[in-house]
Amino acid sequence: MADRTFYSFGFGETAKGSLEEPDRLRFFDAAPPNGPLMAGGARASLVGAAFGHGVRTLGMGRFNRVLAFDANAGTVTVEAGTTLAALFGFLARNGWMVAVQPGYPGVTVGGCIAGDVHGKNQFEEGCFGDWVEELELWHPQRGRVVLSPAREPDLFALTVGGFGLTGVILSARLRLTKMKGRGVVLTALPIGDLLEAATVMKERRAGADFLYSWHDLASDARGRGFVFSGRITADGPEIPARASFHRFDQERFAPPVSLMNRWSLAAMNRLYRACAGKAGERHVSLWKALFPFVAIPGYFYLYGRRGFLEHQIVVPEPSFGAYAARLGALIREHRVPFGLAAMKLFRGPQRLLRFRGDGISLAIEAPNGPATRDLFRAIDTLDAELGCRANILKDARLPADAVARQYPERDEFRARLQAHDPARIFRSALAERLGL
Amino acid sequence: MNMAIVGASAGLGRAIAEELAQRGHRLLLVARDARDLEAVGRDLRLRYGATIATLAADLRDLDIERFRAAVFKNMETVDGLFLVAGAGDDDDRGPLPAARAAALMQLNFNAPIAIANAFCDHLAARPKAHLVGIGSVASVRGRGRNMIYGASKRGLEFYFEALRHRLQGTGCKVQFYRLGFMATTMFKGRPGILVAGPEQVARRIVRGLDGRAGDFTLPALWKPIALLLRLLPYSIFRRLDV
Repeated sequence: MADRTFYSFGFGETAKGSLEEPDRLRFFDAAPPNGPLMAGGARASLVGAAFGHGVRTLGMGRFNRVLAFDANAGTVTVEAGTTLAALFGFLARNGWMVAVQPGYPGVTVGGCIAGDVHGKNQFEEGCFGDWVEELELWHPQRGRVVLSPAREPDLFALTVGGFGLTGVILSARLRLTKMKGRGVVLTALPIGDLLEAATVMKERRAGADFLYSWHDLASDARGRGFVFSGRITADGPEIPARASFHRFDQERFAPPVSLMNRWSLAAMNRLYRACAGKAGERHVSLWKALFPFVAIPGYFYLYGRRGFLEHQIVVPEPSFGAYAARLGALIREHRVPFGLAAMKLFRGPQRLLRFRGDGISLAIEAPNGPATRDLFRAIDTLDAELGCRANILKDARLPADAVARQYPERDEFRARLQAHDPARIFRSALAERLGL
Repeated sequence: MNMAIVGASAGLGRAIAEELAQRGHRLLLVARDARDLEAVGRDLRLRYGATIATLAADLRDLDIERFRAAVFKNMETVDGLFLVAGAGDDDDRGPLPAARAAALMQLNFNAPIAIANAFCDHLAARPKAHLVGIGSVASVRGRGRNMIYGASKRGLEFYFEALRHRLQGTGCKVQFYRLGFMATTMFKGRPGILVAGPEQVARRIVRGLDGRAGDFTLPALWKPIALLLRLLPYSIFRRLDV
């Protein structure tokens, strides 16, 4: 067990704790010595979810075994440290896939459950938690317990999207979706602003396997860009059993200063706009379409050690026009250089602290610094006024008061957590910042 | 081929099992905890369609006759034996309580030798067989850390050299690997250039089955380091904080 400084992906949140990576199940037989704990998966979250001040992080990466697979029912049982990349390779050979896959394949199943993450078509496929049939949770005071929507449903609900605060997820049984093919036809439709993107996405909704937009907010506040709609096709390259990709690693070299400024970001965005515009319709492999971050492993490190901040909200559809206009005004006023900006369609009832809701999701990313923090603070106010909800798992600076205002069940989450674990053994920098 | 891996539930042993399963060998996985073995066994069956048997046995309390019988109950012949299990002790830097000192010697020296001894005639009689032992760069030079561990591994290395000599001319190839730092639970430091992944080391060992008998240092980066440590006069070595 070594003491170390942890950083969230993007360097937005940091804390000093320790890391231990057990590899045998007997580790969970005996309660470990006193002190706060937290499970870690890929430790690639944008926020300090897998670590905390004085917290002992239990890295679960070595618990990455496939325990059961039912090809008829379409379910797989895996240990929590199994990555989506490993699962993709295994399931593809059997004609199945995980329904919800976020853009980076190094993330683990345990992390996806604890974060209740979404993929590239939330409107159709829901969030990761919707596909979890059963999971095994470990808590030093309770031992190993099996949870499902039928067995201890309250604790199950608290654990899905519970940021690891209920205990360590050991394994889970996931419902799968049939793999329709190995390739994707990705169509790029140019759009002039955020509002047009929302309209185009609604029109394109039917039959799309992937649906999201990309915007250039670096050149001007309108947000010119593209709506990408993708359809899975049968033909595509062979899927390797073990795909190799660059892992996000916050200990790797990042330049001491950011190479991402107003000019470089505008140039990169313009270049991307030109390339994507020319292509129109592209055939890509399913792997590349699912995990676009794999193609640009160095991109996020160009922000340097100061890193970047991301903010994602779901805007209720009726308010989207007003939101886009007021966001544009804020962007013009604050003169912050922007990196990625993207939109998706969202739906589904919101519970506890899960990032869900009906409307349009917008994510923006900018270099970390006082200007961006000022702008994001102003956006917090805008979010609250227009009934938007920010994604807790994306914004490393999101203040506790914003969460308290935007999540009506925040106090209930806290009360239920307190009842489940009065000693509050599981803690993180994220939980501390949000007062959970 | 029928391959038995002792210490197959985690770290290097599990990685070797995965490499062998991928190549279509029939495996017997041996480790202390049946639950870990069950998980590794299921994983290798599902992902590689491999034929896997498991045997829970605690090397700290080894009854070699019963062990030998249990192995042959699972496999009629053994064509490959990988003795990977081992353990260190953080306090192995001075006098240890007798029981812990004995446990270190048992796990790293007595048990692997007892097992190799029990199977070497069987392996020698096979048309083609492998015996693989695992050592450590910690045994290259005696120092005030990993004292009993290093001494046990040095002794094991000696025994493997003797076995190689004894079994030459038979179908059994004896190989011994001195390993550098590996990212397993035994390694408490930070990752760095000198720390290899067990998967990477396992791949080299399994590929090496087609190579020559002998002893080897892995990863290769450790070869010059081990050589330098060995050649260093004691008057200089004693001043080093290694």
